[in-house]
Amino acid sequence: MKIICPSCGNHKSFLIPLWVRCTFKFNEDGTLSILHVRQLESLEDKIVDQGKTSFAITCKECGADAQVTLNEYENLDNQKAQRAALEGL
Amino acid sequence: MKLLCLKCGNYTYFETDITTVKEISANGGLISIDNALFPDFDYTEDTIRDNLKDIVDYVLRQDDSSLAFDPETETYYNKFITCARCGSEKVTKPFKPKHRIVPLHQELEENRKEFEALRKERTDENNLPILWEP
Repeated sequence: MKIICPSCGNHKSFLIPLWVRCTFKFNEDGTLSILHVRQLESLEDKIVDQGKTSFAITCKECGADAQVTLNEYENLDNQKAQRAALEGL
Repeated sequence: MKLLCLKCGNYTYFETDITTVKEISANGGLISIDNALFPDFDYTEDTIRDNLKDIVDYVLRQDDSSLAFDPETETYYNKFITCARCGSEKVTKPFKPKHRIVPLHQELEENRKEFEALRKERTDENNLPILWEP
């Protein structure tokens, strides 16, 4: 799998928005204290759904939408298959 | 006491769903998830704290868009914060929102004497400044 930013070429750091369930309490002085944070979404699903929703992975450097390639060798496999088919003919 | 669970009486522990931001780092085909760190702040922690404060302030303000009506108990409760003890969604402020039914002109009439007394205290309006003397 490969993640790349088409705008700036960054391929290392990206930001992903996530829904979390936050358990908190009211202190006596009126402030809030966070007790627990639980993730509500599957990261795998979010990565696979990249490009299909507006809640997307973005580049940490420039903020553009990232491009996720799940199988970077897919094109090579296709080329091999096409070459094999031609050779068969 | 800012919020109250109508089911169990809890007024301390609550839950809410908020968004945060995590960082994905891709190195040599491996992907790791961590807090989004910038040179001077932790973006993940800041978004959690800020979004939690925003949603709590929004619910405490109790305008129409943050409330739902429950016909069973005939009370309003919020749609975003739930009780962390019993899981109930019927969490509300510990008093009903006030609805003023007195028309404005009636309120002005009721307070007219008080206003006149207030105006008498302001002596500067009755004593105009002397710009010149003949």
